[in-house]
Amino acid sequence: MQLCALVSEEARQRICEDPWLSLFDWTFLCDVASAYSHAPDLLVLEACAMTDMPAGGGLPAPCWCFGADGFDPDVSGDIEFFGASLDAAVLGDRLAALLWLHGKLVPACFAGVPLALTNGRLSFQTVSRLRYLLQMTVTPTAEVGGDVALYFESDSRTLVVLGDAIGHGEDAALDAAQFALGVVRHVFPSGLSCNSLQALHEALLRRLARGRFVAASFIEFDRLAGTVRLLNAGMPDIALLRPDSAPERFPSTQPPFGVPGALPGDILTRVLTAGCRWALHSDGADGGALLDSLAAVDCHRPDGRPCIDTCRLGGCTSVHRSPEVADDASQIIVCIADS
Amino acid sequence: MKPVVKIDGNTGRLVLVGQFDFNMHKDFRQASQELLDHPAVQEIVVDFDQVPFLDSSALGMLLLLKERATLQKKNLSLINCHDTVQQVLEIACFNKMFNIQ
Repeated sequence: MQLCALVSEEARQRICEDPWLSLFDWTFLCDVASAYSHAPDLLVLEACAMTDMPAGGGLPAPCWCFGADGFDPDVSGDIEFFGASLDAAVLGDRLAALLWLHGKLVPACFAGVPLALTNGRLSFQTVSRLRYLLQMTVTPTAEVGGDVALYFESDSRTLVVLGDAIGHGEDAALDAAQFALGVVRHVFPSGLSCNSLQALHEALLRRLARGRFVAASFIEFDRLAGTVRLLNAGMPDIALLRPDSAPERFPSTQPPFGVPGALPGDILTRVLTAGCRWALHSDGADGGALLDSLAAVDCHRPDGRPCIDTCRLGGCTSVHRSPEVADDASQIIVCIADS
Repeated sequence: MKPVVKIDGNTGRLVLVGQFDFNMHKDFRQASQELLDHPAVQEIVVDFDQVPFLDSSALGMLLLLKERATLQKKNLSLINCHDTVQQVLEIACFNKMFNIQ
């Protein structure tokens, strides 16, 4: 990957000294105009260096412009502005995500943590355990998209996350990858808490371009504590279907991650109960159709004890696209067989 | 369709027409820039009366407009939102961050 950078001497030093960033093929420029002769794959800029950009002018390559808080030039083309200054960690993460999207990085090593991540076209994954059944389905409108389904498991905890980055296509997928990286780093190790979510939010504020964000729903099942903890940040209602009572819905309580000034919402807690079905979906999926099909699932054995198995879920695995919008459509279903 | 800009005293009204999504990005930016640059305009009002639906890209455009308006010390409000639009704004909790009438 050919990268060009028009940055300060200090930033140039940071790039050259960083063990990951220094692996890339960098060309450091003196002005924007000279980038045209290099035809790079990506142009990295600092706003303070963009003095020779003509109004309405185009750029020779996709461009990331850092230190652009309040900087708002009239530039056409594929350019994204970041309020944060150029930081080796932020730039390194975005480049890792970009390479990963282009199939140039092994996803299993993403963030140094093995994880199940579902983001490609018509991705589908089933995880069947003695105590629960999990199904994740992601159907982007393009080759890749902004919806991402994540699943992590430790000895006693299971965390499932459905993220929906703003927009569609590769830009959205890049933001979704940043989100996945943030969840792996900040939320999974210590679990779902106000502190871990705040750390995720702050990381995304720096890593996402201005005006971009990721909505997400989280559910954490803790078998040791016998609880389910959940948070909805800008997603359609999370739904809980109990065997013998009316469905319960959990609407969004906070703005999506990466929105400046967003205040953390409430993490709700429920008792982990056998026979319950949890459903998360993105706004491109028809939530009503999902609940109807999930409600039809029989969760009991003939003797009345709770039971979930893969074949009983049947048609629930299909994502019903919302008729009003052409958007990435995704869902996660978790059925609790035994608390 | 392109947004319509109406200026009345210190209020600049941005009337959106049709689905508010990424396809409106350029026109929305141009129209809102006109209001941001107008020295007399102190109140920017985005009128959603003719908007049947908006997507997440539109939310991003609103965030950027809010950021630019704040930098220029101009107030921003969203008016005449139909139920479908109101619902999207509420799911994103934008009702906590924007003045919605």
